[in-house]
Amino acid sequence: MEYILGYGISTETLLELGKGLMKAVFIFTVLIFIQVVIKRASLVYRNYRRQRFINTWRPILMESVAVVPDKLPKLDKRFIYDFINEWNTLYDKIGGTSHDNLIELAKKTAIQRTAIKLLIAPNIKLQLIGVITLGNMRNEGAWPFLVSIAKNSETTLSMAAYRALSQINVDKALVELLPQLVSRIDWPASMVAKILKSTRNPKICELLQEASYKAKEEELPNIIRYVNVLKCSNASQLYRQVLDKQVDDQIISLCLRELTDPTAIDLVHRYLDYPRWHVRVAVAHALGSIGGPDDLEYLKKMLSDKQWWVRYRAAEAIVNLPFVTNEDVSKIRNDLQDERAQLIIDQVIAERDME
Amino acid sequence: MSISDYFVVSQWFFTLYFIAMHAGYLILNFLSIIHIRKYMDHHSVTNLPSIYTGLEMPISLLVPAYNESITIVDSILALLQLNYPDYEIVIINDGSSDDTLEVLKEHFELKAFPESYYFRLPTKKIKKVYISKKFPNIRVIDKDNGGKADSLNAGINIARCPLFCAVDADSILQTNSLDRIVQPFLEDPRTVAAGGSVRIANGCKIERGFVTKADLPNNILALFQVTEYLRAFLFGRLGWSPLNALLIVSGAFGLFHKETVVSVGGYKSNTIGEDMELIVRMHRLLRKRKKPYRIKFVPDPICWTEAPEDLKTLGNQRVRWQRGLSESLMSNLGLMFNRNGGMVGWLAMPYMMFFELIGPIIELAGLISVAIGFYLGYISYEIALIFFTIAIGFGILLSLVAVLLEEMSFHIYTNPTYIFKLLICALIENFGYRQLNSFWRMKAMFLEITGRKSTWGSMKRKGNNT
Repeated sequence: MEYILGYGISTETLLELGKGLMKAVFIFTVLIFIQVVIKRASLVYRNYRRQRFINTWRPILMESVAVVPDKLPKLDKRFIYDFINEWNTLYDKIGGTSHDNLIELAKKTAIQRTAIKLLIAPNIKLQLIGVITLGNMRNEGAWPFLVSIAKNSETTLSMAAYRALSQINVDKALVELLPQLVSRIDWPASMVAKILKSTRNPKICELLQEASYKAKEEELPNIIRYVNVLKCSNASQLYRQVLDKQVDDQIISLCLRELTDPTAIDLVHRYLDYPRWHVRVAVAHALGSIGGPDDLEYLKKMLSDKQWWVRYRAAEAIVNLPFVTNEDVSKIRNDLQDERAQLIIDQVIAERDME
Repeated sequence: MSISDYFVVSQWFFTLYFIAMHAGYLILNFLSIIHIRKYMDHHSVTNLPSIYTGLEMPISLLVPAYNESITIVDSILALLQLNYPDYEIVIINDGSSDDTLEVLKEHFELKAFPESYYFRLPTKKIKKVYISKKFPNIRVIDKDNGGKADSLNAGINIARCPLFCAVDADSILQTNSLDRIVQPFLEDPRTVAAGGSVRIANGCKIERGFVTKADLPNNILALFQVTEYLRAFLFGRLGWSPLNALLIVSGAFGLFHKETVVSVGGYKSNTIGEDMELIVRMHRLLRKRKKPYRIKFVPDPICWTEAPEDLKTLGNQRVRWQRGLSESLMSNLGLMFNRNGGMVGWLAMPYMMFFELIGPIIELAGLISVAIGFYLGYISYEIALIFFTIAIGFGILLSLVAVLLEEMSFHIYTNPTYIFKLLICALIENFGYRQLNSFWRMKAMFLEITGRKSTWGSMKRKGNNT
């Protein structure tokens, strides 16, 4: 064997390595080629069989929206997931008493057994199908399993579980999972807000205020949003309590934006000259929504702020104040010395005129 | 060292380089397979609660237009049909020499608007801002010509929404594009940018500005690009995304957090690949500031683009891409092997530098060296054959994995015969087309080193919109 530079670098070794690589590449190439062909063939076959199944069951599902047929064909276990998917899709599309009929059909076909089994499936997709189905079926027997998933799982699955629980019993879900509602900052606030809107439990506002005492700083934005969604009578009290703490300026902005009580105007005045511009934007917004005639001067001053968004919100606030007439706006505009302030007022007037 | 020794050592070098490069690609493939399985598990459940309803963040669509009078109205009408609850369209007429502005004025009933323009990013002079009387969510900026990056900066200055989406005037979006691409921002508030998968529109059935049936093109060059795009997007980007090391978000369709982009200085006007340069700079500066962030890739096919069907246009495009890559990497070299560089600085950037940037030079040098060695009798027939077979074999393997990933995920091409067409294409594109690409990329490197300008050329569009 011929060695070069004394490092075992030889043509023969290269040849051996090359042959080995060539074989490996060839084998993998053939395997992947075959896998692609098999995948496509099985997809075509599966779609064909699935279509036949759906052609049988879709009319039954549609009929069940009105009346559940007495006699049902046997449900082929191989297509149970397709059936569950069809059932859930239809459930989402319709409303009212038709849901009860679909639940009756689901009970007749005994899909809740499959759905409960799916909760412990190794695949998140199947777990989600199980959770969604049990929620739609309002299956009370699944409550403890769903609570456990809502408390312990990753975002999508836990959210789906919480939604399912609220479908089964919204008030119970709110009280039992309030700590999760506050602490799960990964759950979109709008989803929770939607659920909150559907509750009639009068205690929720109090529970949220109690939770705010112990809440960590990152949990406060959720509480603030929920209190606002519920239009709680204790909202101003809660914002005051939050703002009295040393909190992050994002939370200050949020509180100011949510203010709807004119008696809380003193809270807004605290932040008129706040160094962070997004807080001043929130101040302009708040002055526009709960401010009185005395606050007009503050807003005029804000028209010359160095930040465009502060100027814009201040101009918007002035133009939309209920006690400021069009003539007042024109006078304010003409009295302004700062060109930037004049331009922003012109823009907001033009926008209003477009509406 | 004798000439014979030189050839043996050089063959070892080229072989090991090829192995390292393709091993990297295979690892990316592996990551992509894992990621796409997870992604499909999460996103293929048809009955997921509509968890984000009402939470959608408003989006400003920025559409730079330069001499687009023929297509601009159709493009904007298509954008108006997108399924998204809250978005505005900002068209930036970049000093067009044709009647783009007049066409827009006529179709959208534009009227001059006293916009108090917010100069946060420097741009060429803004002549006027218009607003549509017909569609109040459409605004048009008329400005002096300054290029795409300058136009996008002007758009960012005027955009009202927290997120902006850069859209090429000739991109064809799916109706649910915004809905899909916004998901990373809703799922993780640290997200600052998200890119979508771009597919080739040639051959597809397009109705009223939307792709209604995915079909494969008859033109062989366009067909090669279908496999190429599958490879680039399904593992080139999907593999880097979970590592938060994605270096490219396509200029054709990307969503950005506006304040973050402004904080890093917006688009750079004097670069060819402004889209990639922005992403690399975002990585560099956000890492330097130690700000937690995510740059994500959404594998759903949500944007379609027309691919060049002639060699000249394609060559120009590839030269530009390679020069863009070079400029983006060179102007952000500080990120590479930086203490705070993370995966992007220690893995993605060196990988791009050593394999994507100088790869074509080494690849062609390797092939030429083997050919010369074989001709002069220093390299045996067996060695030469093995070298060429491995070089091409790896290419075929990678293209096939891309087709496999497509089969594992979206099945865009529903007709079963198409998959065979793609498989055959994955085989034959490695004989000639890939080498041609290496040549163009090498030419780009030559132009870059010598500081010569590359020509933009004009895209010959077929405009198959019905």
